[in-house]
Parts: sequence; structure tokens; C-alpha cells
Amino acid sequence: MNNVYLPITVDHIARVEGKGGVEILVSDDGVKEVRLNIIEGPRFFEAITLGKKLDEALAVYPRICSFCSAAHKLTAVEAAEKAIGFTPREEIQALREVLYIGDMIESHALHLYLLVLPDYVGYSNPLKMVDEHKKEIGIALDLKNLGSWMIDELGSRAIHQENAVLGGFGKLPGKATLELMKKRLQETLPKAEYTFELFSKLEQYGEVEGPITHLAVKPRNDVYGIYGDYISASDGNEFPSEAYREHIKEFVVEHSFAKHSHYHGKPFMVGAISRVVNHADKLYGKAKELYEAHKDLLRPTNPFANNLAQALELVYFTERAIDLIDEALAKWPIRPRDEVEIKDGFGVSTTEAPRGILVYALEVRDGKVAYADIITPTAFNLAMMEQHVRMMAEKHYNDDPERLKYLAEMVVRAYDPCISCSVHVARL
Amino acid sequence: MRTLILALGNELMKDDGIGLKAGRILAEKGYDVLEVGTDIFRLSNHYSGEDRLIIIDAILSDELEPGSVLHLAGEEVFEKLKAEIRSAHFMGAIDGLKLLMKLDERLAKAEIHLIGVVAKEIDLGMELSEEVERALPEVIRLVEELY
Repeated sequence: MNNVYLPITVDHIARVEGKGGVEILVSDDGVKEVRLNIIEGPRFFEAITLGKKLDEALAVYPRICSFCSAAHKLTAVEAAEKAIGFTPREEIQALREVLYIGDMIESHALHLYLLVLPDYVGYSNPLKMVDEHKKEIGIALDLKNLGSWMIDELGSRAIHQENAVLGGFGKLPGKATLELMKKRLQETLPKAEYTFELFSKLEQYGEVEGPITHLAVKPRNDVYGIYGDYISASDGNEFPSEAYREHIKEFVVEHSFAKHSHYHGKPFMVGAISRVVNHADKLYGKAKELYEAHKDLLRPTNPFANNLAQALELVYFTERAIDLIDEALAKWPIRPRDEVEIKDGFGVSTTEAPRGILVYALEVRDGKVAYADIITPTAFNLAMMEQHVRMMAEKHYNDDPERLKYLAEMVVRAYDPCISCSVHVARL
Repeated sequence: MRTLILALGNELMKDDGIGLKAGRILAEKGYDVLEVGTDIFRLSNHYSGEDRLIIIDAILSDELEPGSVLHLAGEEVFEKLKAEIRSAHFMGAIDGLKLLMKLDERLAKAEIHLIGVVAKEIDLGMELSEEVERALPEVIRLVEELY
């Protein structure tokens, strides 16, 4: 009979958004089981918005996540607008995308510098590395502050924005603010480029190299971006957003409060690397040049490439936001909002949140939410993430357990999972 | 001496909203208040060299009664409080503040005060517990004395 040893466990994966754990069970034959124990709560939000008036429900959805509240808000608003048969004007759509990009810049900067980089420079947290890496921490905060300022200006506040509303925006910032935003984006671009250069030199662990199916929203107008009405898969398949349930199946696993998802019966990946794998041909500007020069590092076969893909996106989205602001300024003055008629209907919005595809499906009846389905990128990624932790464990189960724990955590961190919302208090 | 009040916390989590609620009362009275919420890094976007920072936040304690108000100053703030990190993207406020102090010399020299209120309940909900609600006037009085 084979011996089964005590599990190697990480109760709380450090430096990820929220709480999750890893459990690796090893026997004489090798790795028996790998479990990602993760708790996520968006399903409460679906249930509590049923029967609520549409605008009230739209105020609730961004509460799913304090960190990606702009992504949740904008995706929910688009699903609602599709349900009632409304399409925003081009300039409103451009400014919504700028707001979304604020979320993207803030999220990528914090993930890369405060969560990932400490692993590579040998520190357990950013506070310990600040003395030796002041420049990097300074850049992280500059990028983060730019992103959160963009969200403040266009979304009305940093967290749980109320300014994106059915039909457009509650109010718009002035022309001078948008011009200042453009200037700050231009000034910050070299910091985004520095980030790409820095992350292009970091190791991507070959232990987890292997085939991955990547899914990403197909951006509108053939320009790399956030909004789209079709999902592209790296197996060559493409399907309309409304058909997501036909291609992606969610299922319950015993060890996780969050459901896992399979695409055509197999785990799959979403996120920055999945966007790059599916749509690099739609990049332009400096990011396109960087992609061409470093595409050997942006491999579809390695989840660690997600870190470099996020760095590439910091460059891309900084430039893209400048162009989108120009598009809006060309039509200035802009009416912030059009009147909308709340009709019955069903709408699905799929957008690219910082961590990958975010799905909102809403049905509106008599002005109220009759059906809601929300799937977050982390939920999509869980099955694939577990598979990659297993690959890492299979190579290192004979090593020092602390080393295995560290490598397993690094795999999870490369996915940039967003596990729960935040509350912070101080303990005396 | 210029002073900035930092209102910390999450108003969706019952007593964790005490800092924000006190901050809004002080802002209405005309004091300079920054709503930091759960993201201490917002300070770096708004800090303009103030010499004194007064942080208002909920704290947890097994020893003190819910609603007790505590005033810590200088090194005491960092020595006595262990920030609990529930969201790694937004570091705990105390660690986040330390990090910002390492990046900004003006902040490193600033006088730091913390007015903490011992929470009774940190759970989903917008309302404060009776004990913490009753502490509000004391929090306002202490901040106004320091300002």
C-alpha cells in the first residue's frame, strides 16, 4: 500500500486579492491531488438584485469588487443597455473605455509591482523591498495614482462609481480635465515602458509550460481593447457573447465556494496573455513594436507570460486612452447622457476586465431585473490555475515543502486572481 | 501647522465605517478631510506636505470595550497597531502608510495621530452599532482639539 503524506498546504495565499489556499497531497507515487480552496461571493449579488429596479441594481453590481468596481459597473451598464435596446453614442463609448482603462492601469500596476515583483527580488512584501527598490515602488504608485485619478474624474469616485449611468454619464469632466488627463498619460508612458522592460527580464518557469486554450473578447472595430460582442478562442473558434453558456459550462467542485468552468470540456485561461494570444494583431503603436520584439516571451504556453502581457498592456492602454480622449475632444462639447426608455429585454455584455473576460447577462421585465448571471474572470481561470499548480507540484514535490509552497503561490499570483472584496481594520 | 484628516474604513461593513462617518461630519464643519476608504495609497495622490496627519479608523481589541476611543501618536501608532490585511492589493493602512513615508520625506517628518474606535461588529451592513455610534462626538472632539 502506498503511503499518503500530510498535505502541503498554504492556508492563505499571500499577495493575491482576497483569501484563498492551496492544498497539495503527495503519496509515494507522486502528487495525488491539488486543490485551490477559494471563496468568492458574486452569486449573492445576482440573487439580491432580482426584482430590484434596474437603476438600483446597477448601483449594487460594482459592490462585487472594490478593486474592479469600474469593470463591474461598466459591464453591468452595457448589459442593461443591450437588454433595453439602447446603444450609446461613439464619444460616450470612448469615454467609458477611458474610465475602464483607469481600472486596467491601476490594477496591472499594483499586481505587477506590489504582488509579483517581491517574489523576484527576494522579499515577502513590498514594504520590505522599498528601501532597495524605491524607484520601482514609486513607479507603481505613480501608475496606480494615474489610474485611480482617471476613475475619480470619469466615475465620480475611486470605488463603486455612480457616474456611469444608463444612457451615458451622470456628468462629464470639463475639457481642461480631459486635456490634463491626456498630458498625465503622456508623461506616464515612459514608466509603463520601463515596466515592460523590467518584466521582460524576469524568469518564466518552464515547469508549467504546456498547451493552454485562451479565451478573450474579440474587440470591436479591430482595435485591441475592452468591449466586444464575440468571444475568440485560441483553437480558432469564435462565438457570440450571448452563446457563452453553450460553450462554457460552470460546475461545482467540493473544495471551492466558487464554481469552476470548462470550455468544450476542458480548463481554459483568460486574462492579459489570453488577450495578447488572441488579438496581438490588433495592437498598435509602441505596444505593437514591443510585442514584435518580445513575442518569444509572450508565449501562449506559459501562465507566467501573463505578467509580461500585463506590462505590455500598461504601455498599450496608456497610449490607447490618449487616442480615445482625442476622439472625445474632437466632438466637444459632448452631451453626457441620452434619454433611455426602459423596455423589456435580455442583454449580455462581455468585456475584458484586468483579469480577463467578465460576463453580465441581465433580463429586464417591467423595469426590474428578472434574471442576472455574472461570471468573473477568476472563476473562469480556477480550473486551469489548479492544473498549473499541479504541474508545478509534480516537478517539485520532492523539494523542500517551503520551496514548493512558494512556487505554487507564484503560479497562482501569475493569474492575478481577485478572490474577494476588501475590508480593512487595525488590530490592537 | 497644516493638518490633514484621513478618514479610513469601509462603510459597507458596519462599524468599519466609523472613520468615514466621522470624516464627513468634520468635512461639513470645514476641516480638511481626505476619504481614503480602504486604499491608503490615495494619500500619495492628495498629500501636499501637511505637517500633521490625523487618521480616524475602526480598530479591533480583545481588551477594550466596543465604542472605546483611543488616541495614539507618533511611534505608538506603528508599535501598537498591527494592521490586518484583508485585501492584498490595498495593503493594511499602517504598512501602506509606512511605505509612503519611505517614499516621501515630508510625510516621514509629519506628526501622525490615530483616533481609533473599538468596533463591535465588522460585518455586511451600513449601520454602526449603538456603542460605536455613541463614540462619534468623542471622536470629533478629540480631532478638533488636535487640529
